Amino acid sequence: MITLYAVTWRADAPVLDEDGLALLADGDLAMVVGPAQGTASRDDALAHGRIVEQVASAADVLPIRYGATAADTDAARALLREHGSAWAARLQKVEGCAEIAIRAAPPASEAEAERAESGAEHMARLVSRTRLLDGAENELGELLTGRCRVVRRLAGHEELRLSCLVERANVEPVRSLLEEWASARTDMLVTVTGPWAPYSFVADGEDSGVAL
Amino acid sequence: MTADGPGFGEPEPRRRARIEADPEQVERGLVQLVLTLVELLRQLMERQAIRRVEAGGLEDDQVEELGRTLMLLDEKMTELRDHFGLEPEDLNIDLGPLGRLL
Repeated sequence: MITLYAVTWRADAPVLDEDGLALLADGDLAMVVGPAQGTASRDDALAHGRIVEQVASAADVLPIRYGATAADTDAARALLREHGSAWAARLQKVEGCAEIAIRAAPPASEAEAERAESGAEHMARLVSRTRLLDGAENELGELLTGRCRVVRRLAGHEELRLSCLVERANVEPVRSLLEEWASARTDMLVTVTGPWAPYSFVADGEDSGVAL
Repeated sequence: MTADGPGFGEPEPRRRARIEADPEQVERGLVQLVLTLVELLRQLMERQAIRRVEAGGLEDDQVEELGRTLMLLDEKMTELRDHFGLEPEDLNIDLGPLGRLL
């Protein structure tokens, strides 16, 4: 059993320093693979992410979810062959880009952590939270227009989670802009992270060849 | 590709909401699946209620009733999650290319 980390262009595939990692190539694509991991653990998950980010820092990648495995290198190559055209199309969509993530949520005030005293109060809290998040989404939408290739709102209605696909040359300006916005929003807890490999932009509803 | 084949996604481990064949895990898997569907319905109800309140036209007692119902549902879900040792993020289903359910 081997662990799968990322798919990248064969021509851009980086030299892998880490012990045990290998590149499997087929056609225009290459896949970064490594020895099978042990029982799932937080450390393994972090190590997986670190390897993906290491590859992403040197080349365009489609990150592969933690826990993905193939029986052996032949099976991994067969996957590359089978899904190569779909994965190549996806790689083109994220080419030259990294992901920046924004998470914004209303602070859980001490008062709100307690049970509302009435249904009306509970309803008022829900409406207030929704308005706050919708307002923040609109502001960020205006701020990011023309600066990102794609902005996607991720699921979750108790907080606002946006993922931005940003060309690498724009990563620092966009991050600065977002951090400035975050520091001005004293009514929300905002975190800006990245650049990451484009985790949120590799499964866009097209034929992915992914069986779940 | 098999169920443990590659899928693109996030760096951290994601628990898949599928029913385990291990008999000891069957109850937890079923509960997780059922509670995920209930949570989906609860969130849909909540969004619809917010829309109705924001649209205006509801009497005070109707707002009170809606809020109380949602509050009780929220509390009941928390109780059930605690009872079965589930976290809020466990109540989700990965729909592959379509993303996550919630």
